[in-house]
Amino acid sequence: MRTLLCLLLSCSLVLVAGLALGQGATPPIQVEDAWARQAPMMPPAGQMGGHMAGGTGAVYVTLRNAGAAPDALVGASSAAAEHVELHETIRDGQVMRMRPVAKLELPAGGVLAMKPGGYHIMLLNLKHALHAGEKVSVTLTFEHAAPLSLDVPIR
Amino acid sequence: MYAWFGLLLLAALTLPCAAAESPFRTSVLEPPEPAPAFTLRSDTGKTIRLHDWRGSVVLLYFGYTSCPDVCPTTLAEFAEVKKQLGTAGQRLRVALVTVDPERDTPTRLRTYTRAFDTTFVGLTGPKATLAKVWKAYGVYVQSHRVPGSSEGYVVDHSATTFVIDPQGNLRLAIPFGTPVDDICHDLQLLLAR
Repeated sequence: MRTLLCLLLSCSLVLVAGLALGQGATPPIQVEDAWARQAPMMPPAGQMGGHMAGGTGAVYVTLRNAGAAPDALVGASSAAAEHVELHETIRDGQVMRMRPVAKLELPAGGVLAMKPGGYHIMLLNLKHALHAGEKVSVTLTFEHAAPLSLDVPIR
Repeated sequence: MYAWFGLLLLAALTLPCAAAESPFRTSVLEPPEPAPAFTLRSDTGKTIRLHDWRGSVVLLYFGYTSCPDVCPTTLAEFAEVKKQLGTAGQRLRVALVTVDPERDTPTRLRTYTRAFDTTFVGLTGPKATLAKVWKAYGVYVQSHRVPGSSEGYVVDHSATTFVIDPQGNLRLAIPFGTPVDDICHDLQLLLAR
């Protein structure tokens, strides 16, 4: 009887431990670095740009896909901006071309490193200035993984 | 034929540096030629002639205020450079010449440039005048509609900064991504002369 009880107890302990792990003690997408560049609150743009108000900002994150399956960053949102888009800056000799991208691939075991002059999360029509030393909240959405909410330091 | 030409070009680009052992770390424009003159409007409405800045080292950057990545990165680096130069940095002029005059009002240029350093200045003017300045400095500017983006359009542009010495000569070209230390090093040389 005592042996049976012990067995049951240890079984349930293993089960609990297993559940805890399964619940994401190590989430498949890990944030290795994140920062945003400080940005002023801008007055409205001139002609042809009436919808451009508040200015723009950029957030740079480095993500690691620690999972066994490929995933992709498909979007981002922030209460600090009206719109948030994934962008890529492409260097073509001396010319820099910036384009929105629909998604950024995260191969299994791979790292996506955003940086100035490369991939970035663009904040459009900022609702307030991004001051150095403060933080801005950004939520990342993935093709498969659960959304990730980050408090990104501004510098 | 083309291969030979490429080789010659490569030799022409690398040899003078090796032979003359340039003290500069960024790209040197040899021989120094007078920087193309211009008259533009500052973000406070003042008429600015390049000649007015004789005696200063001028960093001339071409960009726009809706640019979230390349332009703020460059201006933040120049703010750091100016800080590191200390008192010598007081003879440094940093100007952002807009490549997006339709959206970059003087107020926007002022708010944007001052966010990096209170001495940085935005320059604008009639589009035809700006186009001549872009051309004189070999700056590529191409607006590009972006369907589906809230930005409406982006402006592809050269991200090289031109450095004009206190005598008004075009001396250096700083490509995007040049380390702050290298920029400081070269500007110190120019400011010391």
